[in-house]
Amino acid sequence: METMARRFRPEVLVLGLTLIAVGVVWMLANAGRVDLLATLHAWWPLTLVVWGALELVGFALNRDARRS
Amino acid sequence: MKGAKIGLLLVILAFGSTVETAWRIRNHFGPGAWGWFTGHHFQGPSFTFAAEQTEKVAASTPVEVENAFGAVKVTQGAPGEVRIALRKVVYLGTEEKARVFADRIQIQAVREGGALHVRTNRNDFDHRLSGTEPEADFQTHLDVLVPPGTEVKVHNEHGAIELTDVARAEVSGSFDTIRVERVGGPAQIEGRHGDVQARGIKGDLKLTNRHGDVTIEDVDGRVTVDAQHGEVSATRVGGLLVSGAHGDVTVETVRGDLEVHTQHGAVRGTDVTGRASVETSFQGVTLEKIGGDATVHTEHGDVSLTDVMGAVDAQASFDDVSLTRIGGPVTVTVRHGAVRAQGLEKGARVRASGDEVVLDGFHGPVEIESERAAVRLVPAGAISAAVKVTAIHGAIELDVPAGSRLDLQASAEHGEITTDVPGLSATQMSPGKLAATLGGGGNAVVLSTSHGDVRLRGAAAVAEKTP
Repeated sequence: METMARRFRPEVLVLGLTLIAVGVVWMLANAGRVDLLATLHAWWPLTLVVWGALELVGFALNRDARRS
Repeated sequence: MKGAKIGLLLVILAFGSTVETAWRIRNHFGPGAWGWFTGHHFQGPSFTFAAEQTEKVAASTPVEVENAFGAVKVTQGAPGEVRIALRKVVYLGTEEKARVFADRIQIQAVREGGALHVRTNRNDFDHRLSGTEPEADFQTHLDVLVPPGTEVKVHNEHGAIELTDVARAEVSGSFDTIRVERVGGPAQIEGRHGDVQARGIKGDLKLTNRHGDVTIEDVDGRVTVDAQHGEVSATRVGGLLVSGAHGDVTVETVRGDLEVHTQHGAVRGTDVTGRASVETSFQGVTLEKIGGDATVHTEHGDVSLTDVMGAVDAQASFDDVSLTRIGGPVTVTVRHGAVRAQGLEKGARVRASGDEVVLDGFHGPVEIESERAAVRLVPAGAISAAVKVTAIHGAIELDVPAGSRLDLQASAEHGEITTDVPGLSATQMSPGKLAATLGGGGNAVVLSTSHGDVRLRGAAAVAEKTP
């Protein structure tokens, strides 16, 4: 149970960060600070980039855990 | 790969595809379709249609114009009638659809309470007001010709207002420029998020504006301005009161009193026939050619006063006070700044700290209290009034012109007293103290400092240094 609890799950982090980012952008758009559609259009692929990076980090962490 | 990851990937790709699709088609639809999402309005293809209406009115019938999302222009026309021209700009994909929609937008000229109310029925279609689904974005621009001598009231949101050649004006608008010119009586203007210009007002002007610059010219009556987040410029007005913040105030030619209460804004005033009272912060105050008294108070800013006929009361901090040719008595309080004055006709009372005090060419009594500041006094002629200087951590230097009559009491704690004044007769002398008379005595001159020297320069020394 302890091992499962500590296991790194990138998709949870990606989902959380994405929701936060979309919420912040939407809020800024409502405040008139940014153009919602233009901002989402420019930055949504960053979700995939971040997820990929986190997957690599997760892979490295799991490999170290298996070795030890 | 787990199911959760596949699911999340599909969700992200679907989200991205939706955004990409919306981005590609955003410019192919009118704002009625995407305005709610993009926040932009009045984009895409548009078509313009016109309508006209003429209303016969009795002389002096007031006219009230109400509009939104479009310009309003009111000016003088023929007697006995009000001519209304409506320009409808409809944002829809085809001209046929736009024409059908535009035909539903109509001029409304209603007589209520003795006035003619001019508006459109746009509220029935404006989804922002009705809360219904948007059919189309549209603008309504009104051009109204009113009989000579008409009192006009205009309320317009999100559109420019231009009002000229009327008897009386009451205007409120937002998000665009308001221009009011050639009004035969008083005018009242209220604006938001746009510049306001008022010129040629025969009566009083009352103006309120937020987030926009204000320009006022040629107002015969008294002007009252409440402006924030914008600069104020007033030229040739009959009295001016400015309240505001976050914007500079520039004033030229006031036929009356000038009163400014602002914050975070510089104030510059020239040619005021009455008194001037200015209060600001974090910026300086510059006044020239003031016919009456001048009262100036600023924090973290400098004060510069030139050619003031009356008395001066100046308070400043963290910057200098500069006075030139002041006709009345002067009172100055400065913290962490210098006082430099030239041509004071009726003396001065000065409290200063942190920098030098220089009074060059003064008449009348002088009283100075200074801390961490050297004091230098150069009378305009023979000393003929009392001079009192109390300094802490600063030297005192006084020029004594020929013909001066004085009773001197000088003390310099932790300093020395030097004098080269011819004819000065010492009555009491001890280390750091000197009592003396000149010309038979008459005017009390008390010079007292601690941690500084006292020096009296005689006429010969003055002439030698200033040929």
